[in-house]
Amino acid sequence: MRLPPLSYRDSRSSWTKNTGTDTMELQAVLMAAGGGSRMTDLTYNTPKPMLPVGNKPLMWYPLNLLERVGFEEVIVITTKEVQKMMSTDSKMKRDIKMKMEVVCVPEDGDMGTADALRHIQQKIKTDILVVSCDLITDVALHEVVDLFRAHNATLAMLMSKAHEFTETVPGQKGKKRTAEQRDFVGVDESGKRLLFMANEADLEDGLSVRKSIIRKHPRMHIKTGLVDAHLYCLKKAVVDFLTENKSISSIRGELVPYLVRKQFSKTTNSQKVKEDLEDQTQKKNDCSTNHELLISSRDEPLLQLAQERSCWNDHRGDMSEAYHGGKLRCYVHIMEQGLCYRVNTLAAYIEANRQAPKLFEEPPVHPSAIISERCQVGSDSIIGERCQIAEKTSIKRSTIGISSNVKEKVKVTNSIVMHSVTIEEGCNIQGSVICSNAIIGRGADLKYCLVGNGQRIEPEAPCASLWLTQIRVSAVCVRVCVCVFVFFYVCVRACACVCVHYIDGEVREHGQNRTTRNSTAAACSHTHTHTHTRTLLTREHSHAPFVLSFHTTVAKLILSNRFLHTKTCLCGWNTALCHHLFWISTAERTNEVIVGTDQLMEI
Amino acid sequence: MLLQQQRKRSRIVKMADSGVTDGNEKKGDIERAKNEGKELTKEEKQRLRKEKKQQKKSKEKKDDKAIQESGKETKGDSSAVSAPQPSTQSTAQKAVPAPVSVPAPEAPTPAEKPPKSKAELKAERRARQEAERASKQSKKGDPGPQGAVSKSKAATNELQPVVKRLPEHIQVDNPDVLKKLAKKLERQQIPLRLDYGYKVSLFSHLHQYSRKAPLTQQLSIPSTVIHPAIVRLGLQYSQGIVAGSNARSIALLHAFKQVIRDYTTPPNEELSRDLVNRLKPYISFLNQCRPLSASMGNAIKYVKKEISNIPSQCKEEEAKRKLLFCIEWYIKEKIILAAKAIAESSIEKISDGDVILIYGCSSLVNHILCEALEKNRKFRVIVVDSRPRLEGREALRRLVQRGISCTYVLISAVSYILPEVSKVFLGAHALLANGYVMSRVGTSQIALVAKAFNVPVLVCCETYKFCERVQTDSFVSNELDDPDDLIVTRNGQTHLEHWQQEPPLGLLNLVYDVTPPDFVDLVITELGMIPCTSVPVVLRVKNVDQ
Repeated sequence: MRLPPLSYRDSRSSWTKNTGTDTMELQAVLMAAGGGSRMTDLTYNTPKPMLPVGNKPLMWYPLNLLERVGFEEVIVITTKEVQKMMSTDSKMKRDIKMKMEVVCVPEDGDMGTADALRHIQQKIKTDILVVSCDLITDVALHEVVDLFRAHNATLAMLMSKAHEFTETVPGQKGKKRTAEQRDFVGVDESGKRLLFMANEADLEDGLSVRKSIIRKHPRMHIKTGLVDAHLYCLKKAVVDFLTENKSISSIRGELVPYLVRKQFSKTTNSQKVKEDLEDQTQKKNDCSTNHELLISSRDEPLLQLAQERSCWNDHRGDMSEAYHGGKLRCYVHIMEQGLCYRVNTLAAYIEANRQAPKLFEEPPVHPSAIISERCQVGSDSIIGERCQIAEKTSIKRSTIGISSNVKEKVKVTNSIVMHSVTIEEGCNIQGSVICSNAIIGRGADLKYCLVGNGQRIEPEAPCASLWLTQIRVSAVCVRVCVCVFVFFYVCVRACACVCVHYIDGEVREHGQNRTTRNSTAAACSHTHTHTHTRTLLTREHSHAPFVLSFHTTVAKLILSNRFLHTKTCLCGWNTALCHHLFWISTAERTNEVIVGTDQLMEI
Repeated sequence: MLLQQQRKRSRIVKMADSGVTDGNEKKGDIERAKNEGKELTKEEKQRLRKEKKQQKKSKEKKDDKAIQESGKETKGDSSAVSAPQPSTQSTAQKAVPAPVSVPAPEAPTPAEKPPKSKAELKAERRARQEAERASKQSKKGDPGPQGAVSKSKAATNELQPVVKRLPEHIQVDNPDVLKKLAKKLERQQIPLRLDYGYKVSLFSHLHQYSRKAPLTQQLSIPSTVIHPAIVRLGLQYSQGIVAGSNARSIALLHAFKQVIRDYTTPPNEELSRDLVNRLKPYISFLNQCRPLSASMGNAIKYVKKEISNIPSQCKEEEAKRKLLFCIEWYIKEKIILAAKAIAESSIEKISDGDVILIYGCSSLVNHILCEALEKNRKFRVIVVDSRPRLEGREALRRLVQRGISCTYVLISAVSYILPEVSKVFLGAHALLANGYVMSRVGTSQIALVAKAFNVPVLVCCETYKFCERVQTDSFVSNELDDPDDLIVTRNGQTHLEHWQQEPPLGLLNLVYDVTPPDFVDLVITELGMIPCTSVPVVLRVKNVDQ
């Protein structure tokens, strides 16, 4: 589903320019200051707006959406860090021709989206369109804006049917998705008017709907399974209201529910009556509190007259006029089909990477990439600029970031490789996310792993000491540890004989039959530690004296660097390791049951 | 055959002075009318003038055709030029400025008629028809210079060249006109709304849009070409949020006020010219959203005239204030006060115990009834409604809310309910110059049934809805609404959902019809109660005023 071509956007004789007034119809505001709290593993080094999706920074997508429909300028609210990155990113400047006005907000402060709007209040001259930086969609934006226009709405927003993410997410355990709290969205018979909104989290005992709503809209459809796209059209009056009312800090969390509720409250609807009855007290109230939202437009009586004369009504079944005489109206456009992702979790990030190529017409393989002829690159893969892909490599359903280097005999499937990553020979990477600047050592086998920014998975110097390289895998909201790669380089005295074994451990935990195929590489160590290891291993693997099997029960734990540095801990293997594991897990407060420590203890 | 040839030759000779005969004939017509003893009223004169105009138009057409023919065929076929004279004269009374296919002229004047057998006549007629058809096709095939040349020739042939274009919105089936329209819209940077679905025959010359494909999908989102107020208005028109010609006019004027307020004259331009040019694309945008109503047309005419009346030395602020005031005045005078005046005079017509039948939702009729209630008249209302819009429900709601006792029936039950009705009050979309009432489709049926039951039919209409157009049927100029509106979902089943895939099936959602003046007893306007036929008088008086 693509947007129809816009034939009249590049108009020189725009009335705004001609007339010289600044009355625009809509101002676009891009919220790009979010930290990405639900995917901290990814945003550890790269701020969320700059995360690469299909080799473009995430914020390119909403910007492109705005540009495509004809916006000529946009206010970008972001952090200093992102601004710096944006200014250095020449590609983005080339791609986005809109005039961008970047406003920085302090990074550390708990600044909500509504706070940010309040921050830029001076710049807002007219109604606004607020977009979040993590929205990837091919929505026909006019659907939302038309609701806003036609009904003279106070708020118009976009929602989409929630997508089921089918891809296996690194480190995800079971069906975690249910843990997310559902939204209940009530719409009227036309499916456009937003009547009711509640989150599961706020409901203590059951869903209660106010009588005033039921009285006016006896038939309300309550929908679940919708995702809020965080795209809002708001009247200027709302921004003015925000500046008056400082208690609201977030658009989605507080402002939208407030507006939806306010549609049916008495104060906004019966303002006239009030004015008549208690004209003076009302005025006093206005002066003192002024927390009421004042929705009015120029020539109100004339509009009223037109509405009175029109033989249209938005409802039937009762005796009241169109819109029940209310001035505050909220509308929602629910996308039934098409692409709409909010990239705020790892699962969504992976899914977005798969779908993103559909949104732009560029060739999947960048012309400046150097790809040897004897390799397989699937048509569903994206290769970024200045990439080097060596021979006998196979890349399927994957994204390879800018300036990445993929060496010989590497197999990459279903994975996302960010920028400047080096993958050495013979690696097998499947379903993984590898962040920027990581180096994957020779022969590594990564399945459903997440490799953090700048991590090295590397076979160090032969005959050296034991190297544990940590790979972090994250699931939704839960930080889970991964597989520990232990590269033991066997070095029996002078003889350098490398042997690497892979053992796939099967884990059964909590009765869930879920198998994670975490690879554990085991090898022998220096003679110094060798003996210890050996004694440790012989218990279970007497037949393979040099093989260490972790049984991958280390999953769900986080091995901090502290652990990695303490090579000595391996000496007292069973006790020390377990201690450390415990200690770290409590320190990180993951609140996760540590699975399999008993097994470790056994070892 | 020989005879035929001869006859034709004689006609060619006649054709040479056809212009003269034509004039004579016309004069004769008037004289005849005078001699008939009936005093010529002003309306009649007006009508006659109209007829003449039409005659000329149709004649021009035929001339056109004939000349083309003569270019192609043998000279003999140019007889078509003189042949139509009598027939147009006789049909002029009913003649419509039909865009297409004026029936092939038949029946030569009795004077010229040589003794001929019927078979011969038939053969001749057929031959002529065939030739005409061929010429028509060739005309369709090659437009452009030839047509233009012939047209200009025709114009010079005429004594008084009357260039009256047919509006584009009733020539959708003509690719040339469509192309021209597309070009014009492109120049104005207004997207062309695409036609939707299969159109029922006889209505292929009208636009048919789908609500699901609004014009805004082709516009940039912060609309730069069109003022936001106009975009909003266009959407409200096309979605039916603002419906009814009064509401549409008020909303239009309201939007114009905003446009004028936000307007600043660019340097080196004159306000009076630039602003009119500025409004033009807006109007064509609105026309694309939904064909303009007659009332809107009049309002636009008024605004344009006021703008062009502004002297060039007038300061901008001053001019804008003046214009805003003018618009305010128009709304107040022509719509609000007119409604008040109409209510006052029509209340006289409502007596205690009346049973009043109304149809659909006319804001004016509702207003009148509410006023009558306030004047303590005791009456009962029957609201007649029809699919697909069911506007009657809205009328019902408004009346019941005021406490008027109502009965609600669908139009299919109108003949059942009419015996108990004492008066029929109808609203109007427009009043045409020939006295026909253009209104929501179904009105004419109600008027007809009312006539049959001898119930007086009163049409309420402000004079700003009077229109100089002449129309005798509902085919030529009408509006087609979204055919999908006719689809009904009942018990979760939608029967006509895939109607587009059924080639023999066409959906027709007609918006207006015209009611002949024979069925209308009285028109209540703010100028008083007049018969339908007085429309031209009112129009002329208005023209003089302005």
